[in-house]
Amino acid sequence: MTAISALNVQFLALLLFCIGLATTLTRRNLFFILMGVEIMLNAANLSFVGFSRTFAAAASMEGLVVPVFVIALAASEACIGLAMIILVFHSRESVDSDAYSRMKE
Amino acid sequence: MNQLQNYLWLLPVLPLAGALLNGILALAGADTDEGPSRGLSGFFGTVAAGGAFVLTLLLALSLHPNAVFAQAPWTWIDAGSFKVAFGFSFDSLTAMMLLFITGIGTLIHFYSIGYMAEDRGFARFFAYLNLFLASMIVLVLGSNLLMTFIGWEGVGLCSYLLIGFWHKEEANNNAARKAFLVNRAGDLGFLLGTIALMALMGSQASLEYSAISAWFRDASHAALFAAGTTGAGLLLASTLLIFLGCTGKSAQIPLLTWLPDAMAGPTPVSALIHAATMVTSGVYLLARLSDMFVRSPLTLSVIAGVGIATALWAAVAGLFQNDIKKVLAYSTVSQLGYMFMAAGVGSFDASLFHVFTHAFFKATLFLGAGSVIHAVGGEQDMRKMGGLWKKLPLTFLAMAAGWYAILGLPLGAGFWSKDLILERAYGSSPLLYGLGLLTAVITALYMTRLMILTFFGKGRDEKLTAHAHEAPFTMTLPVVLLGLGALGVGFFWAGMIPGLDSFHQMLSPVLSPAQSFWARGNEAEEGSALLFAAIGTLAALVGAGIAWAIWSKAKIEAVGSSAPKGFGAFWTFFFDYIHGIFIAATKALAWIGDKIVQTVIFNGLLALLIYAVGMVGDAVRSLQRSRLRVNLGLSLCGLVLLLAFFLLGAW
Repeated sequence: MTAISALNVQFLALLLFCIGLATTLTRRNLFFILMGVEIMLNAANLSFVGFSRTFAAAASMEGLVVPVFVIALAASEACIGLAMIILVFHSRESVDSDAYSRMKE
Repeated sequence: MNQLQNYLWLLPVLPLAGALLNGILALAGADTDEGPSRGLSGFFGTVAAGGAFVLTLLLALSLHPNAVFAQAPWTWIDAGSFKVAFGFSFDSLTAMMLLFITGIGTLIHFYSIGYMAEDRGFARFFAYLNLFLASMIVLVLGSNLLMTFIGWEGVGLCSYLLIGFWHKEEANNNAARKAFLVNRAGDLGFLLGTIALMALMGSQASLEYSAISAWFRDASHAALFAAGTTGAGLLLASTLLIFLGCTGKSAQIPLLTWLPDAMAGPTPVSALIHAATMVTSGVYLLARLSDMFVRSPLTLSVIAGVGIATALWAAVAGLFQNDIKKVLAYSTVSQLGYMFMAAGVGSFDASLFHVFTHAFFKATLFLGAGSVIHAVGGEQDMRKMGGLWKKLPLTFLAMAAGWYAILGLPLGAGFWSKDLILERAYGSSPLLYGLGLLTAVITALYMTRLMILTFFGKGRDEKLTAHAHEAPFTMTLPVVLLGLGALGVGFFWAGMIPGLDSFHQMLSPVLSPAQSFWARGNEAEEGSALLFAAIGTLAALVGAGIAWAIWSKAKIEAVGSSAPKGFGAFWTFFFDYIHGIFIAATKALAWIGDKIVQTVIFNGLLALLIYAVGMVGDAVRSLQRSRLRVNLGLSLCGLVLLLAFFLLGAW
């Protein structure tokens, strides 16, 4: 098995993050925005894991532990986010984010 | 050093406390018809003034002539090298001023108990009077120009309040406003002059009188204001501007029109503020800054010229008045002119001595006039009086003493001070002396006229004079005491009684450096003092004789208003007309300011600004719209910028 270069891992994470960011910023569909957020979180996870390979033993554990928390966070975020989307969909019959720009009215 | 000097702060605080107490009393009794207890508020007011007098007396007695009591409770301004203390200093000049301010002040407070007894605003009157006394004490006691300025403004305010005391009559309010506004013009001169003085002193700028005197006495600074330098211009500007402030407060040309109108106030106010104390603060300031003024000969000549012109003009104007208080008001302006002339020829001690004696005889005359007005039920027109000496013997005797003193007849107070001034004026310029002598003749003329019209002949208005009666004890006592003073205080410079001749020596530490500096360049001719006294007395007798010849048998008809008519009116209101020109010019400027500067320029600019702001607002508003993607994108941009700033900026 050939060792993957640490720098390449970071590049991949950066690429993923940018894809997630672009999705969040450009899509109007709420589901896609949520997906973009998930992709960015996972890109961060990948970056952590990548660094845990290159750093010394003491620090490397942290790089493995943080993603576990992030996965838990992402799960709860997805859970709440989807629930909210269903609720707002009831009122506006739309998953277009711009349709919710005047919530206080 | 003396323990007493720690109580300097008590001097202004005592009357201030009296003012507060009386203010509270006035408020407490505001809802009743009677008003608050007159006994209580009169007691507080008089005791506060008397307490200040006793304290002044104790301080003055324990003061060594060369020493200064100083106290600075706290620092007021502390900006780098420029410091101003909230300080008091009590030297012999202050002692002299305070003695007669608080002494005569106490007597006039006492007098007011009787004079104002029927007035609903009794407590309010005493509150104002005490506040005035506190301000006057601060003016004289302050150790620097800024402290004096507090007092200066304070007495101006109290003067305004008291002139307009009977504020239900529009004329009184107008007089009060006039006094306030004319004084404001002078105060501007005071402030600008102070600033010019600071500019002249440069890095050693200080507002403390001691520092200013020391700076000017230091011969090495003379080069800074030698002829032809910027410093010379600054010195000239500073002295002239401060003198302008003095003309406002002391009713000299050009700012003198307010004082005759100020007679609208109650008579004790006229006696205290507009004759004895406040109007002399200009002379006090000249003496305080004498070290500066003697170094500007041009300004001193201006002061002497303005002084004699004012003295002569006001004396003539006094001849045309029928209102007894107006005569005394013009007389005050005229006597103040003498004081300024004395200061202008470098004799600050003589001018202060005249301040001192004038305070006594003019207060006597005003309080006497107050008793007369009280006796004839508020009438002030002398043409309706006459024959009152039998009805008011005490008042008549006291006023006769005042008359004797102001004429400068032998051994009266004015004999010593006025002749001293004329003698010094002769040493400087015979022209000044001649005009001064002419003024003395006219002074005798109008004062004798006043006495004849008021006290001699037959009562010309039976309704008024038939029921005339002597005033109560509280009013006659101060008048008589002041009348005795008017006869006696001249001996403080007389040199006839050893030990009493203390005035000159007392002021010498404060004034002699300036006066000897002045005398070096202006060698005065010594005349025979006896000759001057004889000529002065002769002038007074001539004036009195002419007056007797004209008015003792004259038929006087009391018709119409008491205001002068014809040439008299032109002469009297001459400076009001001059003021009218300036007022018209100011109004034209105000019109330009309103219609052109305000409406066209400022409003135009404002409209342009409003339009521009509106445009920018519209542009920015599009960014603020709730578009999720735009908001997120912008916050991302912000994040990138912040990161770039902190990461790259660290290098």
